[in-house]
Amino acid sequence: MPTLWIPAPLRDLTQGKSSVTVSGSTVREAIENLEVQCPGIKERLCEGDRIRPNISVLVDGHVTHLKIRERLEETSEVHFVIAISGG
Amino acid sequence: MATLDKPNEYKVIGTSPLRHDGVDKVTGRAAYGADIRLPGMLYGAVLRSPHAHARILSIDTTKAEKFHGVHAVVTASDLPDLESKVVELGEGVVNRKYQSNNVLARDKVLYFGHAIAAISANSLNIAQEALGLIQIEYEVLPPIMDVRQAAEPNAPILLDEVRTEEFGKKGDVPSNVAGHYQDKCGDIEKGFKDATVIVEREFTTTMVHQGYIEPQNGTAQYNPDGQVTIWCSTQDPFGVRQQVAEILEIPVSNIRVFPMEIGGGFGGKIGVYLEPLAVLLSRKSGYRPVKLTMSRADVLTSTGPTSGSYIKLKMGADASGKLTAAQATLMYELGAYPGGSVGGGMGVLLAPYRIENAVIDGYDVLVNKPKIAAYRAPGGTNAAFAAETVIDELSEKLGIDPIEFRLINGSKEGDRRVDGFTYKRIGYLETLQAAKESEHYRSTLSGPHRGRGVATGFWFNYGGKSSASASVNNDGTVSLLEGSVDIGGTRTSLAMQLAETLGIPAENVRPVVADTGSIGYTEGTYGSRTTFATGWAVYETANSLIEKLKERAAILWEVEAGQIQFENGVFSSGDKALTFKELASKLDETGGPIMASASVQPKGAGPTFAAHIVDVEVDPDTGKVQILRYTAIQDAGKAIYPAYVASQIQGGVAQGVGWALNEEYLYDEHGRLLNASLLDYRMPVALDLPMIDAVIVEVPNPGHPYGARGVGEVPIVPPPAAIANAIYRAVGVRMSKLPMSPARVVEAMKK
Amino acid sequence: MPNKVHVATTINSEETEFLCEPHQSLLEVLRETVGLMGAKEGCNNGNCGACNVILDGALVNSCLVLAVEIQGRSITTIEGIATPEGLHPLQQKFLEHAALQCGFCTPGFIVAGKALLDRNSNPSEQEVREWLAGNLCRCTGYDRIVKAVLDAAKV
Repeated sequence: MPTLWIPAPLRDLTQGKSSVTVSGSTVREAIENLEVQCPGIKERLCEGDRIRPNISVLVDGHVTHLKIRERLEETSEVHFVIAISGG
Repeated sequence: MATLDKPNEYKVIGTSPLRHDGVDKVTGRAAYGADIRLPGMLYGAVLRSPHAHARILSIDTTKAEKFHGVHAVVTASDLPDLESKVVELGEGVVNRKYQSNNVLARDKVLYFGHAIAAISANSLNIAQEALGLIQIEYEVLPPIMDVRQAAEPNAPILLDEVRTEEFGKKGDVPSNVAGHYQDKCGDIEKGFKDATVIVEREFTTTMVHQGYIEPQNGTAQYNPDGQVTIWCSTQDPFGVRQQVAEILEIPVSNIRVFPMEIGGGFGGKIGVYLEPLAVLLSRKSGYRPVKLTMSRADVLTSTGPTSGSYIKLKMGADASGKLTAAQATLMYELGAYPGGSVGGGMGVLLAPYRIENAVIDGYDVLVNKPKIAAYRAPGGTNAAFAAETVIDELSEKLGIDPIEFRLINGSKEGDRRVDGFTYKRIGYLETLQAAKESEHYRSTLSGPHRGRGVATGFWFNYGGKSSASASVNNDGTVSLLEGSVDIGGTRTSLAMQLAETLGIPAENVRPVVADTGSIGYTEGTYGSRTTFATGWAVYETANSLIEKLKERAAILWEVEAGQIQFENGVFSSGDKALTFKELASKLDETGGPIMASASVQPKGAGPTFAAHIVDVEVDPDTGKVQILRYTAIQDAGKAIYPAYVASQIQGGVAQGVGWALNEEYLYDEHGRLLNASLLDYRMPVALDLPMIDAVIVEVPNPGHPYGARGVGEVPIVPPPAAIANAIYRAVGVRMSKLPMSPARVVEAMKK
Repeated sequence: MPNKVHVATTINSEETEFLCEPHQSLLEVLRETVGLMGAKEGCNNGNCGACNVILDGALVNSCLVLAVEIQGRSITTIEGIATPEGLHPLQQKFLEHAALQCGFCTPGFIVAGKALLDRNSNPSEQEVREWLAGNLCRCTGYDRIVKAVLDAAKV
């Protein structure tokens, strides 16, 4: 099952855990399943039907532009980080 | 310049042909944004706030409107009043309402130089004179100029509606702290207990400007049918289109942006300042074209510099030299509006190191200074100044060579960062090894008040959306259209990638930087992305051309397309063969012209590491620091266009040297910028620098067809720290404030 | 209507005349009136060298020269550096050494380089750096520019 890494400010919703393994074939499904275990976390990550615009989603170390629609493998790792801009 | 590693396996990539736009640039023919002349063109000027913080009580433009030669005057009342809305713009996000308020102040001015009104007139002289006739009543408010003071609970508030955002949750009370972010791993209490040596230091840096030699410009033609054309020097023409569309509430499809040649950007020419004003003025001036350019003073007072900062950093290591814990607080200035770079700083701070226990808290804080803009690895240099000098101090206290210390703790593929994700293929250790083995590092530095410093740096590099299209000419040349503005040779590095793939010389490709009406969507030239992402678009375009040409060869030889081979620029089937050029001459008889295109958004941008070595001599009486020797080693993945990779490195080093030694924003007690000229905002000149040795290491990026990593940003990350470490070895003082100007060095030596 | 002044001068070896207002700088008139856009405005107060021209053999910042001052005198701009035979060695060496990135400062540097080589045909690295200290470049770090000028001197 994919592993979702939990940003530090959200760990009070996951009993302090820095990562949670949940099932999900897309980022969306994984977040929905995470919400069941850790209520309140979805609205920290999402705004309506999409990931909050200032949050980047990394799947297996690569920034995904599909974000909530990105497909996940069994061993996928998902990270949520604040979007960083270059110059 | 040296490129380490294996001999070049490519024909075009890895060479340095003369750039395609070179002759235009050395003869003065290249047309930059301010060079445009249009029939009936009017000239614009902008009125800027003399106060750092004030409410606008009234604006009276009647006298200015009546001035002979004036065509139109605009203020924020001519702009739609936008709701606070965060939109995605390329890599980051922008709040459109705040951006609009930055273009023309509404209700409040928030920094000295904040634009309030703009005028179009028959000449620049008339426009500037008419500015003086605009009457504004202000209620002056106390300015907040210090990032720590601004973060205090009782500080005067810049924007009443701002609340501290913490990863999806907003605070309850108005605050100048627009964002609080945190990365955490392990247990820092245990980590510090395990440490043999602990170093804790505080650092401050001021704003510094990108310092591009060409000021901002923007010319616009608003047609009576609502179609808008914009000519400007920008890193991001599609971004300009989107920003103008949203700020003015015009459909994106009504706007066409022609990017002129650009005289430097470094991140500062992504956000719009003048373009919306030019459009507004053109619409209000009877649909005549209007050109606006910034004076150098306006550039310094009113366009985004990078954040000044306060950083507190505590790190511990055990006796073997292994890092055991790190705790950091980073407070970065936002300037007048949210949209900051502390995230970048947090991501750079410990990036080179494996460390199990760390907490990093980052704050983006509003102050009455210009809204910040990106500047080459935004946030990174400040963070590296802190981390790389603390690392230096730890290594010194443990008696371990500073490069050796970094090798002990250095990140490699598979290591997990403090923010949680693991590295793919990276070249930090290879870069360090090259530094350790360099002639510079092995040489002896002798003489009084001389010292050598080392520092390393990291940048993420970005992918993003890019498009390209190409058509084959009968003479075997290929016309290439691409959407990436060329700031430093990318039209050629992209032409080279096309040429390599097609097996033809780079001179046979004619690259053109296209406007937003002529090419598919392409994000800006920023984030060290162009050679990587637009390279992918060009690579896929080339492959598409090859497939189509195979079909033509099949027609010619009357076989199936599947029987055609393509290798080294030659199409063959059985004993028949034609070069690319020969086949191109047969297009007309096999079906007509061929073209292909691609739009991509590639994953797999590889991060880059750098290691810098600098020798300095400090004058003990004046505190002046002379750079004696500088070597900058950097992993480029694969240097597509080596001379220009080396040049990017050298330029980044030079900017870093200025940041380290001289550049700063000096404000008086009213929040007015005192040094808004290139005399007093002191950037390095040829006399301030020696030759800069750029050494390219190549640890190929598996995410790019030729292994390229972005190179443009990371070179600015290490220099201030490297120089600080060198000053310590020269005269025994640890500098913790930037710039390390002569007066500051003298003062530090006295203590 | 402000009083315009008639100026007769020589620009890039060609006799030229124009009308200008007394307060206009040479830089402004070159760009707005004469139509030579190669000299650039970087600061408009003599601190960056992007507007360099050669006035009667002397290297000047055209933003600090009044247009009326060139009456009867002779100036060379970037547009006059190449000849009908081709690029000047400085221009060729700038290309070969990759001594430019954005190219905005390049006209100023090439004019400054020419003024140097016209009076010192074999400068040292230090002499080149001193002479070019009035020209700002933000992209290159000067390394390749200095190398290009030293190499052009050899031609």
